[in-house]
Amino acid sequence: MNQVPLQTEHLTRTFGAINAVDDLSMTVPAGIVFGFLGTNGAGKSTTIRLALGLLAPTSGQIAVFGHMLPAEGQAVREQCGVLLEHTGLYERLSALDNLDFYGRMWNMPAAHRKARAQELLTHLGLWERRDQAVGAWSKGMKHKLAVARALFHHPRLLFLDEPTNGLDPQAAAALRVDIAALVQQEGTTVFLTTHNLAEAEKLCSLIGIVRAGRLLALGSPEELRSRAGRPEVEIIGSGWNAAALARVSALSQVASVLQEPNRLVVVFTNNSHVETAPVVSELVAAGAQVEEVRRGNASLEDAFLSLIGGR
Amino acid sequence: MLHDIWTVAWKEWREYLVGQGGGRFGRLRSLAIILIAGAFIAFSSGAQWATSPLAFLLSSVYLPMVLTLTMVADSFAGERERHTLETLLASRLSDRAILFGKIAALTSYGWLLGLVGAVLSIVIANIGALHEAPFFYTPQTALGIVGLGVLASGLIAGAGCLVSLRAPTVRQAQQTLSLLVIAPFVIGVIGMQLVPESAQANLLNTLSGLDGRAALLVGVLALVTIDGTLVAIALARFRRDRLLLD
Repeated sequence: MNQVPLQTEHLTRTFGAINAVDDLSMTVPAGIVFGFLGTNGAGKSTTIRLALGLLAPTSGQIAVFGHMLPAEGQAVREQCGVLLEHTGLYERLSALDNLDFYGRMWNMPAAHRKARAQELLTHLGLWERRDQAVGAWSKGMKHKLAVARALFHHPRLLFLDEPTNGLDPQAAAALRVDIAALVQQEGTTVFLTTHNLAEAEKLCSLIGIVRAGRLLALGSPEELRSRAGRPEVEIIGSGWNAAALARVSALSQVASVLQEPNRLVVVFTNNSHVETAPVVSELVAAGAQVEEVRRGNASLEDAFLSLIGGR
Repeated sequence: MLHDIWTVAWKEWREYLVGQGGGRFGRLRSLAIILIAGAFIAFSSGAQWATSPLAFLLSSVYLPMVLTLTMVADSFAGERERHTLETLLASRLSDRAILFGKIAALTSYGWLLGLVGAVLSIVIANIGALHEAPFFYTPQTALGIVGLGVLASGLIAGAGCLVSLRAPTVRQAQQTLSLLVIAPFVIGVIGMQLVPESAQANLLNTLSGLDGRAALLVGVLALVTIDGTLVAIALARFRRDRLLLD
């Protein structure tokens, strides 16, 4: 069986004149959290729908675990868990009934369903309210239950469309821990869309950035950050003099030096390894006083904004 | 496949029976229909109720159809409206399992509650005629109620799912269904007025001269054919990519 969770080749999906997904080619390796980032309307949800066989491509190909879509949609959906834009919960039913329905769907025996429901609901702090109709719950609680439903049958590939949206910070942090543990312990592949770039940076080992359906960049968070700008070091201190600046500028990995009264920004050349010690040594040798040194890497947000043209 | 159909039907029944909010209202509405349609007329009819053509038509056709009609618009349009359809479609269930599960749940709902109505009405008829010996439907009538009820309920379940499949809202599905239910009567009445009076008299004579069993058999065959056709059309129109209307 093909172990590649998701592979697309020139995948395109149009709605009238709009290209929701435009010539998308990428591969998502197994056992990682893959972050799919983009602004609203970038084509993230459409890509998930294509990957689940809920939409047919206009052109190009998409395969999940080697199954071509939409023709082999059912074989794909057998192996997936989903939390889509809406929780998809039956609000007239209780939490237990909601989970039981999806457990029955995946042919889980009754004892297994019961144990799994108790395990997940207890873990998420919902066990005490298991018999209440979900419609009376808060948005955050519903969201947690929808996450439990997505995980219920131990899927090989998990699609999470903005999973922490609507969760309080504590619950969001707990969910991030759970997602990381899921990947580490069960080898699940997670396809994650989020607007929370810090979350993506923490969780994802591979990130794709899309705009208007086109894949702008694909790489690890470090690779994307490095594309956003050259690495730099911020030095707080005083006594910057011409000799000190000249000595630092002469270092081979230094591209430029920006001087302010109590602050010096040393910009390194691309692909250089940022070593602060030689810079500090040169400054101190030239008589400057160094109080603090901060590595000033570009954040994923910088990378994201620079790629989509927001900065 | 059967397990998957049962799973979908289980969920539907769970919503009918223990679902809160809209589910509770649905249960009360069904109970009201059974009581109004069955109880009042049965009470005043007495022993005649057991052999009355009205009782037969009410229990075998009217009640199953109306009870199914109260729920069917919700089948797909309700899921769409409450944003549960996409997650359901993203599950491992096949198209057939989802469609047949919903039709099975709706058909069994109308049919079983229709049977409850039939039993309730004969009990009430007995109460209304306490001075007489206890009575029940003849075996033929009981069999007819059981058999025809499935087909009548299935007819509305099939037509309703077909309409609800692509309707953006429950309200729109209900409106379309109402038109579909009313249309045959309106067309019939207008059609009869266009026919010359002599032809109308001939038609009525022919109909009244029909053998009851033969007419019933023709009706059953017609219902089986229509039910099967509706299910086949609904299955052909069940396209996941078309069901996700935004």
